[in-house]
Formats: sequence, C-alpha cells, structure tokens
Amino acid sequence: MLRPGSEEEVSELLRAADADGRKLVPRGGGTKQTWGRPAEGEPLSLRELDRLVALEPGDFVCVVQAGMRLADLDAALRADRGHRQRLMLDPPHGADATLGGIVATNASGPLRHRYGAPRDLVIGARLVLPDGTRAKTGGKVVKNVAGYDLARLLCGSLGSLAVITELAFRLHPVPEESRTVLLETRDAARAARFAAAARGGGLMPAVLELTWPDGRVVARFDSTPDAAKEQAAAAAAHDDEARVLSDSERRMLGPRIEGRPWTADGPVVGVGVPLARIADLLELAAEHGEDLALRGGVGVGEARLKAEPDAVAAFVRGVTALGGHVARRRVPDDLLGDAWPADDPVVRSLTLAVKAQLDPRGTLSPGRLAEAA
Amino acid sequence: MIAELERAVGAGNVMTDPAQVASYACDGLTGYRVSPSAVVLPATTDEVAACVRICADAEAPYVARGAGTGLSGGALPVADGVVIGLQRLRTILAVDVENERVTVQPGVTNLAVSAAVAPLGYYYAPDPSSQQVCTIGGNVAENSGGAHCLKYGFTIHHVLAATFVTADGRITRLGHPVPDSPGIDLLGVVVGSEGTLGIVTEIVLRILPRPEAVDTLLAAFDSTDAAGDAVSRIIAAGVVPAAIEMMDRLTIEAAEQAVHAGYPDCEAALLVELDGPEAEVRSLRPVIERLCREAGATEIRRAEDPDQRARMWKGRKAAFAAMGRVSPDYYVQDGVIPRTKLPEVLRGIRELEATYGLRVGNVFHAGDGNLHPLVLYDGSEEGASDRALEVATKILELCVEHGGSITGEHGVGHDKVCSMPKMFSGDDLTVMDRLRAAFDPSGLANPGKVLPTPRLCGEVPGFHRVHPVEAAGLGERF
Repeated sequence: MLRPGSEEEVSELLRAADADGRKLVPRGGGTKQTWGRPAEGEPLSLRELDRLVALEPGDFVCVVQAGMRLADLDAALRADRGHRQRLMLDPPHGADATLGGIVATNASGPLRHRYGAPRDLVIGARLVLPDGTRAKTGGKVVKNVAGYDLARLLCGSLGSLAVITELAFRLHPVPEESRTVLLETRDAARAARFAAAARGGGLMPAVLELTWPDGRVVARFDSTPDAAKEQAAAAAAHDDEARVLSDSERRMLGPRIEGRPWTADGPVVGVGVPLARIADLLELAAEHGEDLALRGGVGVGEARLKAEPDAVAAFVRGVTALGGHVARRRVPDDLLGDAWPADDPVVRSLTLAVKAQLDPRGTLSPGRLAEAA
Repeated sequence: MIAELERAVGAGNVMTDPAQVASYACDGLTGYRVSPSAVVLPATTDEVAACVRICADAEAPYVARGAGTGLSGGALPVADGVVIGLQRLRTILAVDVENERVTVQPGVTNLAVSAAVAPLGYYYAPDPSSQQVCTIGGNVAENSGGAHCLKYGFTIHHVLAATFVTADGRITRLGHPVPDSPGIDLLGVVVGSEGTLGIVTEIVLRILPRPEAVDTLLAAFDSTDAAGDAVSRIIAAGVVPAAIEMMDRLTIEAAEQAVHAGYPDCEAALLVELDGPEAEVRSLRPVIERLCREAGATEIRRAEDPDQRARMWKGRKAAFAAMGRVSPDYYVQDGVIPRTKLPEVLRGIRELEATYGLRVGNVFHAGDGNLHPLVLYDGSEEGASDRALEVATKILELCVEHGGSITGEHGVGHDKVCSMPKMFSGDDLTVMDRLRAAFDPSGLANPGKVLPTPRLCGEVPGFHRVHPVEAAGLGERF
C-alpha cells in the first residue's frame, strides 16, 4: 500500500501513476471501501496525513489533514476548555473513519437531523489531481462564495475525482443539556406518527432516529437545561408509551442502536424517502420481516437486507416507488441486479465530463462512479 | 439568430432596440454597463433550452438574469451577446408542506416563497437584504446568504433539486427532492456558480417551520472592539444566535437619518436575534444580556413586539441605502474575515481612511465574519471614484491577508474577477477552469465572470489600472 507522508508526496505518486497508467484507490480508515461500485487499483493510504492543521473555535472553524481520524479530532476538540465545540458528524464506523473518507463518502449518522451531511459542514479543501496539480478550494471562513465550490463536488465522489489532502470544517457548540425520549412500537404507522409529532409544533430535536424491526423512535433534545426538559416532556406527551429516559437508560440505549445496521452480515444500502412516506417505508421494511434492519433519521438512513437478489430488488423498487432513492453501501456484485434506477443520460454525461476534466486518464478509483468511470 | 429567438419565444419577447436593451445593461452594481445585442424572455424550461441552443449554434455568449439586484456585476451582459431574462418564469409550481418543500420557477422572488408558506407556519430561511425583489434563480446563482445564515446556512443548504438547462441546451434534473442521493454533487457546484455552468429553471427548496419564539436585542457599545468582544463572549458561551449584526457609528447615524429606527447614540451597536423553542429563547436572553454587559454594553434594548423588532431590522437592512444621506456616492464591499481578526482589520480600514481621505462605514455580519465596508465618496470630485475603488480593493486584500475571502455573499461576478488571484493560486484557478469546461466547453455561459482572464485583468490584476473594459469603451465606473 502506498503511504505518502505529505501533499508533495501525494502529488508525486499520483503523477507517476498517471504517467505509467497505474490505477490508484484512495483510502482513509478503510471503513467504507465497499461504498459505490467496486473499483480496481492499488490502495493509496492517506493515514500518514493525520495532523490537526488549525483549530479556531472562535470562528467555528477547524482545519485537518485528510487522514486524521474523526475520533482524534474529537479528542483535540474535547481538550479545548475555552470553547466546547465539535464537528457534528457521526457516520457509520466513526471510530476508525478519517475525515477525508467521511467527506469522500458524504457519510452521516443520527446527527444529520440537525447539522446536515458532510457537504453541509465542509467549507474548504486542498486536493491533488492525478496529473499532480495541487489546488485549494473554498477557504477557512464559514461564509465564502469566491470561486467554484469543489469541496462540495468531492462530497460523495468516492475517491474518483481527486485525492483530498486537507479539509476545513464548520464547528458547532456542544449543547448544555440533552434529554432523550424513546417510543418502542412495532406499529409502523404509530412510529411514523410519533416521529412527525416529535418535530412538529415548535419541537426541535437534534436527533430523531428510527430503528426497525425492533421498532424504536428516539428523539433527542439538545438545548438549555430548561428547554431540553420542556421539549422532551412535550414530545413524550404525544404517545402514551413514549417516555423520557433517565441518564442510565440513555447510556444503555446507546450500544443497543449504535452501529446499526452494519453489525451483521448482509448487503447494506443507503435509503432516502420523502418525509411523508416514512410510514410506507416502515411498512415496506416490515414485509421483509426480521431479514431487514433499518436505521434512519427523518427521511434518510440505511438498511441491511437479506443477501438474496430478489429481496434486494424488491426493496430497491419499493423505495424508488415511494419517491426515494437507494445507494450502494455494501452490495456484492451478484446482487446488483437490474432493479437499480438507470442514471439520467444528461447527468451521466455531465458526471463523465467532470471526471474527464479532473482525471482524464481514469487513474483514480476506476469503475466506482459508473461502469465507464 | 434573432429570427430564431423570435420563433422560439414569440417576437414580443425578444428585444433588440437599443433603448429597450439598455435597461438590461447593468445589475445592482450600476458602475459597469454593457448593452447586449438582444434580450430574450422565455416563459418555460423548453423555451430557455431553445434559447440556449440557438445561442450555442450561433456561438453567441449569453447571460442569465433574474431581478438584476446582484452587487457584483454577475448579470453584466456581454457585448454582442444575449441576455436571457427569467422574469416570466415566476410561478410557484408546488407547495408540498407535508414533505417540507416548495417547487418554484427561477423568477419567483425570495420573499414570495416565505409569503406562500407563511399561512402554513413555514418560511424559507435565506434572507438577503434585497429579498423583496431578488429572485430564487439569482439566489441559486450567487449562493445568497442573508442576516440569519450564521444559524441557518446559505442557499446551498436549502436547495434540494433543480431542473437544469446545460450550457448547450439539454434539459435534466440535478439533485433529488430527498437529500443525500448517490452520485457526485453536481447541484452543489452549480449553486453559487454565477450562471457560468448552466441555467436552473425549476428549483425544489426546503422550507422550515417558523420558530416558536423570536427575541431581538439591540446593545450599544463605546467601541467596535467592545462590541466584538461581546460577540466573542457569546460564541465562547456556546450560543449560536439566529443573527448577530454589528454597525459602526457612521452607519448607525446614516440609518437613523433614513429610517428613524431608534438606535442609541453610540460608537457601535450589536443587533442580536435569538430564535427557536420558546423555553430556549427565554433562557438564553438573560445570558446574552449579561455577556453584552460584561463586554461593556452601555445600553441594551429589547424589541417588545413585532413592530419594534421590524424597526430594529429596518435600521440594519436600510444601512446601505441610507448611505445616500451622508454621502453622494458609496461603494459596497463584501469581504470575509475570521471574526476574531475584526479589531486588526478595522484598524487597517481606519489607516486606509486616513491615507486616502475617504470615510468608510462598516456593517458586519459579526457571527460569520462577513464585513460590508461602505466606502463613501463624491463622484463629482476629480479622481474620487478611483480612490474609492482603490480603498475597496485594498480592504479586500486586508481580508485575504487575514485568512478571509474576497466575497461572502455577493459573488465574484465581474467586479472581483481580478481579485481572485489574490486568494487563489494559478493552479487553483486552473482546476476551477477545468470544472467550468466540463459543464461548458464552449465558454458561452456568462463569460468573463468568476474566473479572471488575461483579457480582463492583464498581467497585474487590480482596479488601480485602466480597466480593459473601459479602455474598449464597453463599460464605465461610478
């Protein structure tokens, strides 16, 4: 595995590979290499680029090298006593994931509900193109519209356009108090109704998470102590069986839902459906019985399915029919089938044109974005 | 080409008469004027695509235009080119409140979106000061912000999907009404691309439930440093208000004369707005008041009702226009600095005032470091406008030197293309140019904007030279 120690080395390695026609697959913690289509090439690890470049909590900004782990950034932020701020990302496999990998996959978790996906939090980047060109985009200030936002283009690009070497993010303060409300029900309509109520009528949860088939709706209210308490109580009042958890119950709940749906074998897809179709999604999930595990914030999440082409195809068609979308997260080749919606031809041609401009020889992660790219 | 355009949209919707097209010669940055050879007003996505194809076939540059309120010359026409005005596409196509989204055509105004969903208890969050007239199409092109973006983000955070006419006239959909769809984020790079990558003709926007409570405070300080210190304390306390706006004495006085907002007589004022759940706003208000006092606030006023709140905001939002009361002419800049560098940058601006003999008022989105210096001058005075531009450019340089940006929300447009090399290296700009070429290989979509060209900027970029556009008789300054 190639392990460059600096952006200069990344540039030299890329230029050499590009000239020789060798293919490279960038990699951070290696936790999401199954996302997207399979790509063939020599791994290019960014793990040596793991430095915290700048921490400016007074400006809500941090700058890191792409190979820094989210967990290590978290530790550095926790050490700052003057400001209590975090990068509000909690993607799957968060303990080992690097920030470059999180951006390249645009991966998010429960915190997405309030704070958005990586594309909403990244404010600048440094990148290296396969021809060795080193460039920056965006900046180190939260508000900035100078030039094209290439950092956003890299979100979800799965290592196929450029190698990310540095990232600047917007930070958020840690709320003073958190209160969590839990409803357990196997009734899809009731779960969806409660999820809608827990974010209506002035209620503003930071996290609103559904898990299935165990049937949990978790609403977490982060605010001032008074407000967190009031909001949680108001949310719990929407269903007889919903209740505000004690601190110890909250600690126990964490491990019960963490890592879902990745903790067992089986194909995993990303899922998105319109807000009003959440009950329908849960009904669809229920058709698969215990063979399907689902987690999601309101509207976006992930599902693990039974490793059978028919099951995967039925679920993909079902989500698409709800006006939603699916993404490949861990789907073996033989399960891809023909159920995946075809790319729009114009979107496909724009995608290939961007790829051809940034990586004309197809050096980076060939095959990952589309069969020909 | 004109005949073809007329066939595409109807003869009544194509203007070529010099007197008619002259009203499209500039946007909100009136100093630059270029008359296009034609203005075409399509009414549907298909008509927009047809116009673009006709321009592409004729190799004629084209510039998409909304309400023309932009402040960076992003909608400045190209000589011998076509302006594609989108004002006839002004229908709100769908309000889907249960999925919290609205679909609009690009000519719909920003405020009309909020007005359409207000009865349902929702609003559209980005609120540029020109929101009564500026259009969503223009907001998408510029990635517009507003006073509340510290908490709620910019246009990019509120656009879910768009119908998009490519630079060669094909029609497609970018993004997805449900976020996080697979594929590279083409929409993410189109937002803020200032009309250089293509034209959006339908936009799916996210709407938000109106906050339960809003509280607005106005705090007076003896110095901008003290006001800045209050902002630092608020941020260190972990509070993210919906807005924190700072005005200095010059802008307060001008705003007072213009709209009588009832601002205190002081060196610097902070307008702080909290919103959210009622209990949260209730418990944070005393915290903000205490932090302001600890930073030396001499007076704190609270808006007791929506009327008072509206008046406080009127003072702030009228600040640009109010400068007309204290100076015959002014030039607005849109720099960004790391907020913590404010005292140094303001000192730098004061030195520039002294050196050039011009006054500069400062309006500051203090939470996110977006500084709007207003350089005052008298255009009738020999050389004054050149000096004003020079001061404005030097202020941008100060912003970049302190780790900031040349534009926070107005866009690069035509105005700041020659400042781009101060912020970006040649390689940075080349990569951006390669992206542009992926979308628009022929370079016909709004040429001369965003990225500098040798023709526009010469070898030494900067406003302190005779601008080639001026030299060619294509534009003039104010």
